[in-house]
Formats: sequence, C-alpha cells, structure tokens
Amino acid sequence: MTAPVPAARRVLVIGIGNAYRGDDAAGLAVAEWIRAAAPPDVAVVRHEGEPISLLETWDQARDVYLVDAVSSDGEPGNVYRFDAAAEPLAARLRPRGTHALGVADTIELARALGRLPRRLVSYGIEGRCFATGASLSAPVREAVAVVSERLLAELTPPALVVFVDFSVDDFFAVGRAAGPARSGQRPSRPRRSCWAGRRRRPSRFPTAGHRGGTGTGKPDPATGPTSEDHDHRKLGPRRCAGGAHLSSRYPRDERRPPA
Amino acid sequence: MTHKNERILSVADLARVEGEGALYVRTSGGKVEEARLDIYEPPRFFEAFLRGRAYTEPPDITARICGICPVAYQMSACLAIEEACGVTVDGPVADLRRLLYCGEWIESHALHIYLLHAPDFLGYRSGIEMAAQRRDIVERGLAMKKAGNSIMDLIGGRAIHPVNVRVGGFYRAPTRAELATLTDPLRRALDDALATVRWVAGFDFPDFTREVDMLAVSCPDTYPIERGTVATRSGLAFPASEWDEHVIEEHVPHSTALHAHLADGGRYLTGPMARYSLSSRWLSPLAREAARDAGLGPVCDNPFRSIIVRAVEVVYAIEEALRLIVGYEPPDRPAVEVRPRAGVGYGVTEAPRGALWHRYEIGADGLIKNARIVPPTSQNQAAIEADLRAFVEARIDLDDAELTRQCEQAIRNYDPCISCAAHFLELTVDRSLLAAG
Repeated sequence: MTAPVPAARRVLVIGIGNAYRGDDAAGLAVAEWIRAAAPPDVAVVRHEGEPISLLETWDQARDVYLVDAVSSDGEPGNVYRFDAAAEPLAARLRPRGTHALGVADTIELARALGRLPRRLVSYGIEGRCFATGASLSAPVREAVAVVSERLLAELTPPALVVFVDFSVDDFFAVGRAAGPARSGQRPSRPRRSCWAGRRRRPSRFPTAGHRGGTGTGKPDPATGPTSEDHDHRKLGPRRCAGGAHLSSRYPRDERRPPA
Repeated sequence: MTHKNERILSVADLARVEGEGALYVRTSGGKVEEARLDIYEPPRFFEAFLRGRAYTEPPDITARICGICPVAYQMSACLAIEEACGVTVDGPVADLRRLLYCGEWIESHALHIYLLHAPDFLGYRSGIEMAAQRRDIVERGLAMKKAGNSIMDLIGGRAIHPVNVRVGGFYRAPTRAELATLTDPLRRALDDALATVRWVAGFDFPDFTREVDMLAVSCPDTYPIERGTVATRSGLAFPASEWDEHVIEEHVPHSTALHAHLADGGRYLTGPMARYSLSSRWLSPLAREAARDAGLGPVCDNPFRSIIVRAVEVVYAIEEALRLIVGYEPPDRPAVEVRPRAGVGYGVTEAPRGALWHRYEIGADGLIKNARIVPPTSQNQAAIEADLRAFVEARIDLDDAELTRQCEQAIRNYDPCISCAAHFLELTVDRSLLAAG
C-alpha cells in the first residue's frame, strides 16, 4: 500500500475510507470503480487515511486524486471538489474535526513540508451513515457513480473534456446525486457547473440497478463495475444504528446548496 | 447566572487529541468550582458487538476501536482469550508480538511528540504551523513514525488495523530476510530518537509536580509492553484476573467514558509516566542514559515532562525492536492452536497511552458471552480533571486566553485517546436491561 508509485504511473487515484463504517467507504468504492476502468498509466490505491503513509503513497506521484467521505451536515450524496495543490485551504475552510490528523490536515502538512504533488485534486462525498457494519447509503451509492464518471473524465486524455481548475474559492458542491428513486430526475447539475464546456456523452458504465457483470463479484474490466459491486439495494435498506462516529474532514460551513 | 467574580474557561472542540472532547473550567473567587474534561463522542458499543461472536474474532473487531493503537487491542484480546482457553504463547511468536507492539509505540509516540504535543511547548498553534517553520524537525519525527509504520506493515500486514494477528499468534510469520529489511531504517530512527530526547529535554516545563498514584503493567524481567501483571506506585500488585477487585469504574454525567479509581477511592494515572516510574530500571542502558541526560530521575511526576518519557520510550522501543529482529528465528508454526472451552480470561498490556485491560467470558461453543474493555484514557480522565483543577488554581492570575491554552496543553500531556475511551456508556445501560430481563 505504501509502495512508491512506479515512474510510468505518475497519476494516482487514492480512495480513502474505512470499509466497515458505512458511507465512510465511499472513497474505496470509487477507487474500485476507477481501478476497473482507468487508463493503464493510472495507479489506484485504497487507503485508510493514516497520514504518514498517505504522504509516502503520493511522494512519487505527479498528479494525485483523492476521494474521501465527508461529514459536514450537508445533504447526503453531495459531491465536493477542490484543487488542493492550487492554494491552501483558507482558515475558514479548515475542518473542525478533532481527530488528531485528518486527511485535510495531512494535505496541509504536506504543503508545509513541500511534499505536495504537482496536482492534488480532492473529491468529497457527503455521507449519511457512518455506523459500524453499515453499507453505503443510497444517495452515497449514486454519488459514487457520479464521482467515478467525473474522475474518469479527468483521467482520460482531454479530447472530449474541457477541464477547468478551480481555486479554493470555487470550492462548491459539484452536484448532488439525486437518484431517480428520490427525485425522478437525473442527478442535478450545479449552478456553477465545473462541467462547463464538457460535451455530454453516454455513460461508459451501467447505472445502479443494472444487473450483470462477471458473476465473480468483481468489476468486469470490459464493462466497469456492476450492480453487484455497487448496488447494495438488494440487501435491503440498512438502518443506521445510531451513535455514528462522525469525522469532520471537510469544512462544515462552506457548502453550497445543490442546484 | 454568572456571578461577578466567576470565570469560565471553555473549549468546545479540543484540538490535537484523538477523538471529540471539550474542556470546561469554572472558577469563582479564585477557587476552581468545577473542572471537567467532557467526552461527548458517541459511544460505539464494541463490547456489545462482541457478544455472540466467535472467540477468534476479538483481535479483528477490537482493532477497529482505534486507528492509533490497534495492536494494543489485539494483544490484550489475544492474551485474554488464550487465558480463557488455557493456552500460553511464548517463544518466537511472543517475540513477534512484542516487536509488532514496539512498532505501534514508535508510531504513536512519534505522532504525539512531534505533531500534537511539541507545538504547545514551542508556541505554535498546530503541528502544521510548526512544520512550515521547522521542516527539518518535523521530517525527523515523520521518519521515526515511518520506521514504526514499517514494522506494523511487515508483521501486521498494514500500517493501521493490522490483519495478520490471530488468537494464538499470527497467520503468517515473516522470514529473517524480511525482518532484516527493517534494520537499517530502525538504526537511523534510533539516532533520530536520541536527537528527539535531547530536543524535548530543552523545552520549558511548568513546575507542576503531582502526587498521584500510578498504575502500570509490570514485568519481573523487562520493561512492560505486551505482557505482565499490574502494579501501582502505592504498592498494589495483582494479576489481570483481579483487576475488578482493585479498579472501580463509574459513570459520570458529563462523559461517555467511564471514570476509574482504585478500590480505596484513590485516583491514579496510567501511561508513559506510570510505566517509567514503576519500571525505569528495566529500560535499556542507552535509554536510561538518554533519560538521565534529559534530566529525568527514576520517577517522573510532572505530567508536562511526559513528552520526555515518550521520547525515551521511543529510544527503548527501537532498540528493543532491533534486538528482537537480530535474535529472531522463525517459529515452526506462526500460531499456537487455541481450542475453545468454557471459561473466563483476562489480558492486560501497555498501550502507548497506558494499561489496556480486556476480559472475555467464552461459552463451550466458542462464542463470547460477555466482553469488557477498560482503555487507558478513561482511567486517566479523573486524574486529568484533578490536574486541571490544581493547575488553574495555581495560575488563577493568568488571563483567560493564556490559561485556557495552558489547560489544553495540560490535557494533551496525557495524549488522550477519546475515541478509545468513549465506547462504554451504553453498555452499562445494556447490562442493566439484561439484568432486568
């Protein structure tokens, strides 16, 4: 996990989370999705967020994309994106979490030590339930699909994508993944879309609810992750057992409402 | 209602501690009326989760209680279950356990010394601010932590929440060649650790000697880490199985952690200060010399100087790790077979923050009937509050901002792991319901 990234694979996607804490696993789910579908020069790592090994993991990388769950009192399924290498998180955006060293702290520590990669883009997915043993909640499952597609678009050579970087002042909700079951509409798009200029194209991946796949429980590299990998609805709704242990890795007070 | 001469110091979210807690001190007329370390992190029900699970599962389940000291949970759990099943693990497998535990001490202490505690002494608001100003120093701390992580990675399978630990030993034992790869990084880390002791010894320490009882695991032949019985400075000595006769836990309204005290009502401390004060003679010669040069006597009773004790313990843990690696002969089998039988077992080991006690009752079917876990931070909570009270009374003339800052520092002296401590409130309720039913 902490092995340096080979020189030929300087683009690194790190999904961060705890596989046993409900929506905290959102980053791990995105990592699996990306692993199955990313270009061959992209390395993908699942990580539990331990700060020093996180620094080690990205030390050799050039472009790093972090995906992590967020608990900031926002709508579950909200997706946030910010360019952490561009400029420091303003003090007002610093997380208020009290855990010794969270992911945002690790980013700032790396900045202080001159150990940031050239490019560090961080995605956050607002979680709902972080209870031990829970599965991903429905809005977070939808958000995992949204982020995975968005990230794949970033990772793919830019023939189809006009990519726009945002500074920390542009930190905003990229979009809320409101699934058809919730709103009867496609995922809403943000008021200030970071997809501006991007041509729409058909999804490369089955949406949640699609049945298929390799039958092995693992994503089929040809088709991407399947419902068996990401659609936990067949397990029935899991109730959040309460007492959820919420970590505030991202700011609470700089959210923008979904479009 | 606030009286004219009443002052309230309050920090809603304590920073640089592991978990979610708050500080509240109320003074009136120069006297401290109330001093609380509020632990409001929600309880996490681990003891209840364990009921009905197989006797083989606690090492993996309890490792999830803490991302900083998972090995401590795994080791105390293994000892307790093995005792219940009538098995003793010794030889190279026991050595591997101690080696893995050294890795955890190194990484936990390095994190606390450099990023959580040192900034208090040097006037930085955070470890990140310190990193920006003193890059070389912080990189030294991170390199030490990395050496600890490497041990965890190699023996435990990964740097946090190790997956290679099982009841009876390990799933796989490393080869000599694999362990040898740790030697050079550890030798470099030893130099860094000695430099760390010299560095922290130069800090300014408030004059704050505490006369308080201390409790730690104690070994007849070595510095306590992964095995031993329990001893206190006041002269108690008892095996883990008699813990309940000597340590009383009780619920207090402002905390989701239970407070602990000795059966005679006395408060006590556990953690590096207690270990050092009870067992400093068992440190390696190099660690003892480093301690002496840093101005530590055989006993440490100023909590602010605990940062020196942690640095000395890192020296010891690295030396101990090197010793175990050099002497390592792979075991014939990585684990002793442990068959379930009905019974009760107890285990106590020294987590980086102090004594961690587990008790399991196992049925003949191998399922756990009851589990209890007493983590270090809940044991220290009462002593932390007593410290706050004494500390504030002696410095009542300071302005609120400075006094609050120093109080936060006083709490961080204990490296509290609130996440570990805050698991147990609901279990008490649960037990009473069971009793009623």
